[in-house]
This record gives sequence, structure tokens and C-alpha cells, in this order.
Amino acid sequence: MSIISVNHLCRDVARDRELREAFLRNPEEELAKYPRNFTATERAALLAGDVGTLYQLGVNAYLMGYLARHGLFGLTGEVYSARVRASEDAKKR
Amino acid sequence: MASIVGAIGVPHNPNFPELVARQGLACDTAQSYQRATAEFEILRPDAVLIFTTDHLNTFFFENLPIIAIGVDDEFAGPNDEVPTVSHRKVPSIAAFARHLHASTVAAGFDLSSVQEFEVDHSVIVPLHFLSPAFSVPVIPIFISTHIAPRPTSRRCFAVGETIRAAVQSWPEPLRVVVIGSGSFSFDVHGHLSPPGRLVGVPDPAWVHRVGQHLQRNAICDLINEATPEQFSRAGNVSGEILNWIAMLGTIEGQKLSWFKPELEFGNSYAVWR
Repeated sequence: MSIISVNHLCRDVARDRELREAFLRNPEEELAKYPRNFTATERAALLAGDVGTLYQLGVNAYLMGYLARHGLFGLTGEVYSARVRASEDAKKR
Repeated sequence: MASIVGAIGVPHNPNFPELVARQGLACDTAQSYQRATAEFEILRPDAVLIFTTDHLNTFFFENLPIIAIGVDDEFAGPNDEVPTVSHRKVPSIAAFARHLHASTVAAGFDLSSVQEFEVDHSVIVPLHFLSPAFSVPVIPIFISTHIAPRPTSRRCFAVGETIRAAVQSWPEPLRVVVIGSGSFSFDVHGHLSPPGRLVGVPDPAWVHRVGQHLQRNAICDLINEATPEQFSRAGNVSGEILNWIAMLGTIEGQKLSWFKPELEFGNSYAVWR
């Protein structure tokens, strides 16, 4: 289980401005360099800004929201909100 | 002998210092915190115990204690972003904290201890307003209220009762004020925040009901209703009410002297003395 790696990434980009700016410039390259392991699903979801999938995989929302606050992986607050809410709605159906 | 002379419940929104700096002392948050600070000063504390919740800044998933006490002669913070508030040292009393730790473990509560630690906004924001010189020693007691499984409300109240007994068995005549830090209904980056928003207050009715229980001193009702199901409706940080419930367990004889709800932010301010 590597979801903790996504949690680490979310906290690291919130705390480390240089890392955050590097991810903003080139997310794919930086994700490949990031010193933790991700599953293929996690990697694909991160690069697609698919926070709905990450939310269902158990990424901590408090941490994950920093991706949207900093505009990482193409996210805005509105996009983030819509995807997280849709994923929760889909889970209930 | 040390004694608990009062208790203060407050929120800890990390944006409040910047909000007050921007909006001025006439804004609601400033007014509420000014009143709480006046009460804090009347109580003349020699030491503060603060029940609080770390936001994955001091602890992380590799090591996430359900309840932990800070045992050191000082700590630092904030270790997260609190606009307009600088990183600083906060005095503490390691010997007193060690006594509280040993006493609670002896009473059957398996608290972890933490040394050489930093704290996040959940400790620094209340102190920024209540004790702006950061001169009163502070002992933080961290309760994991955000991430399931949380301790039960009954367990948190019982921890508070045990901490009260431990304070009273400390031989030095310390005047101790207990702080409960946190909100009643708040969602941060989760699916309960309003559409298009990253934060929100999903269950203002719960905030109102908590206020009613506090004002009626109906603590048993509050404990019975502060359940995981209620937290699942009130937002992903709403478990912070457990910090207030632990604080309520420390009270013996003090009466609610001031209560002010702040429904916009899903929280309240209250003083018992």
C-alpha cells in the first residue's frame, strides 16, 4: 500500500516552495524524481489531477486540498471541489 | 497543590491572525478573542494545558498517536503556514508534564509522550491571541480527532477527569488554565465543503446544538451525541469537539461565564471560571 506516498507528496509540496514550483513547471518529470514509490493508478491519477480517484483511494483530504490551493496538476478550487464531490456521489450510488 | 482555575474553549483557524490584522479590532473574531483574552488574564494562569489536534504537521501516518502529551521545557511553532505569525519558542514545564503523563498512564490511559517537538496552528493561534507574549508555560495534549478511529467522546472526557486529578496531585501551587482548541462543524478540502469551495460549515445545526448543551451544562448529552456518525455529517475536522470535551472533563465547580457562537465559521468561544 503506497497511498502514504501521495500523502507525503501533498504535504511536501505544501511546505516546500521550490518543490512546488518544480512540480508546477514539469509535473511528470518531478513525479518521476520524487523519492517515494507510487502505484500506476496513483501516478496516473496525480498527473491527471484526478483527485476523485485519489479521494476514494484514501488520500487524506486535508493534505490533498493543497494540490488545488497551489494549482498543481491542473487543479483549481472549483475543479477540485467538483471532482471530490462527484467521486463521493458515485460511491453512494 | 496545583489547581485548575478555569477553562477556555476557542477555535484555531490558521487565517484568524491575518483576518484580524486585515479587518481590525472591530471585527467579530477580534472581539471574540479580545473577550477570551480578558478572561484569560483575569484567571492569572501560571501554566496552560491545551487539548488540541495536530493537522499532520507534528505527527504523520508513520506514527499517529491517539493521545500524546508534550514533555519538554520548551517547544516551537507554528510548523505550518499561519499568515502574519512568525515561528517562535513557547515555554513549557517538563517536570509537570512528566507528572501528568505518569499519572494518566498509572490511571489506565495509554498516553504517548513526545519530546523536542513543534506544534502547528492549533496551538499557536489560540496562544497568539490569549497569551501574545508567549510567556506563560504551555503543555499540549494532542488528541487525534481528524482521522478515524478517533478516541470516543466518553474516553476524552475521562482523560480530562484524570488530568484534573493529576494536576491536583502536583505539589507546587500552580494556577492552571485549560484550553480546548477547535471547531464543531468544519470541512477542509473534503466532499462536505460547498460546491466550488475548499472549506465550509456542513452542519450549522450541530454547532447550535452543541452551544445549547454547553449553556445548559448538559455534558452527558453532548458526550452521547458526539459520535463518529455525527462527525461524518459535520465535516472532516469536526472531531475537534473532542478537545472541548476533554477540557470539560477537567472542570470541577467552575461555571460557564461566557459563551459566544460563531456560526459562520462553525465554532464557538466559551469560558468557565
